[in-house]
Amino acid sequence: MLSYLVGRLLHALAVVAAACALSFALLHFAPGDALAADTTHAGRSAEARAALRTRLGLDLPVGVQLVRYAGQTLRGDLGRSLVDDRPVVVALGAALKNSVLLSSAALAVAVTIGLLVGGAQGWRPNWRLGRVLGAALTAFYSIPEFVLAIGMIGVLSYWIGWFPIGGISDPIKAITGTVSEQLSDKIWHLTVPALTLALGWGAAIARQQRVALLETVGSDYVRTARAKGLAERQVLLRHAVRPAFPAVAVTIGLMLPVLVSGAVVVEIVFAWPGMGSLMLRAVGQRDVPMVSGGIVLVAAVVSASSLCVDAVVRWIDPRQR
Amino acid sequence: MLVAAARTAVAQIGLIVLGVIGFAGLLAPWIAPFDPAAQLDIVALKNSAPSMAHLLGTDAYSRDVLSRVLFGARSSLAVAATATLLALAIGCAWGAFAASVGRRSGDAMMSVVDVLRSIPRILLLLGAVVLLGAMSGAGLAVVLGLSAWTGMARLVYVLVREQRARPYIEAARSLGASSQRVLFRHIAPLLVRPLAASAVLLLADMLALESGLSFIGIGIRPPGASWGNMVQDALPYLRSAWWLAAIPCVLLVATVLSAASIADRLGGEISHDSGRSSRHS
Repeated sequence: MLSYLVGRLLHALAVVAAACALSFALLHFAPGDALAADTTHAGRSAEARAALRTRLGLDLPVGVQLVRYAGQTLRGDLGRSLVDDRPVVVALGAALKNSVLLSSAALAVAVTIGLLVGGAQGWRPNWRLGRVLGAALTAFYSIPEFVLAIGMIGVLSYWIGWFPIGGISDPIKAITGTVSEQLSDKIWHLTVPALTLALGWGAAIARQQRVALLETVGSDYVRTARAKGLAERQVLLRHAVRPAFPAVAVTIGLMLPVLVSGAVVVEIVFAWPGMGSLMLRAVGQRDVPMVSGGIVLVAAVVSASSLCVDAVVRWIDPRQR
Repeated sequence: MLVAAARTAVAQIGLIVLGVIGFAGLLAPWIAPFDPAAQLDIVALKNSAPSMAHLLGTDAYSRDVLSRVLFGARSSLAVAATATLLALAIGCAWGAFAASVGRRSGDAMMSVVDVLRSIPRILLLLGAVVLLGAMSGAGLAVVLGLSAWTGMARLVYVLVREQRARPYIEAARSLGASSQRVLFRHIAPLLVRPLAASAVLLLADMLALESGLSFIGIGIRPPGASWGNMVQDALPYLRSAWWLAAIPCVLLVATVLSAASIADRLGGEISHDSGRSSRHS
């Protein structure tokens, strides 16, 4: 167990280190440098540019820059935005909160859909409805996220008109509304983007659940459980679903980086003020410290979460202890 | 039996759809009725509905949608195919090599792959955009390919390792076959089918990714046509001219589902690691 955790931790550290290397490369090896690529400061005087260059440390030798960068990053200082001079950590933190809200809501729905549909398919492979639902989910799984998102907006927001077309809250209610109004408003805004993500993710989980369940359902101990006269319910939940769960959970952990990328696109379509929207805007503005800080932060959050999932799976699965 | 036949039929339809779209893209310069970037009549032809003169209508800049769809297919498929071939080449070489060298160095090579796979791919792509600035189609294809080879490497590694443990390889070895001979003569032919299946999926994946990037404005840039940036252009008119967004979306979905059905028929139920997991990461 311990050696496994140490190995997993090393892997997570390697992922973060690779992200840091990319981020450092962005800051210091972008053609010219971070400032040459920056168009928002085109109007600055030569002195102002030189001062900014000194502040960013771009006039130092690369080795010194690397040490400085490593020190600052380890202390959690990701520099300041080139556009509005806000500390990058503050801007990213606010966006990360919104992203985590959207992703965890979507993941909760996806796990529910995935376990139910995949469970139905694995337990009763010949059940019509289960197969139809499974096929529908597989189609959602193949469709690019932005197409699915636009389809959802088109149908649910424009055509039926039940939901807002984007954003995280109603600007008026966010100020004047009561707490419960604000909460329901937020959930109302959250529904469609979360559902969009959940359909695609749910398909991936359903597939795993189906495969894992087919394996346990065919096993000897399930036959034994039936033979000794247990109720079907008991057989399903205690003997088939439970041992299948760790495999599904592991997949969720493995999928996290993929899920994050999908969330980026969905955030952009729904104007959700999360990491995706922030990063895309920063790329457009050539706000290099913001982009490179975002890369480090997202990589760190993703690898920490998959580390947690793996550790929990190890812990709950007695076969792996 | 019936299910297998149905799957074959679906795959055949998929093959036809993909073939038609591929040919249409290939022949775009000859069959497109208009110049895809020409703004024909910005006043009279803004967002006009499909008609005999413009079979799929015109967009907000009065450009002919059919021509843009054809050229969009051309650039999207070219980028996706190049990226797929690149990912396939690097992935096969890396995976087969890692599976053939000793256990230790193989593990080390694969842990590099695993680390790269753990970084959300969109981060690598956004980073590449900042580093390289606006990319041409070829640049985009290279960046996509470089971000996608790891899934292929893992698949090849697993498949080759699996075969190497089989008795027939031991037999070939004991007859004096060299390591290369075992790899190319004995193992490679068995990998063709699963690799073809995941290459088709990867192609769909790359197509989805390219259009996604073009959609958020960092892939193929206007006035160049891509299904992704056509959707982007159409977004403000979702209420008044919904077909502008629907046409490229439907084509994208048709292409991606066709590829998935073909891959399904080719690969059967092989567990492959590439598919979607390499998709948006």
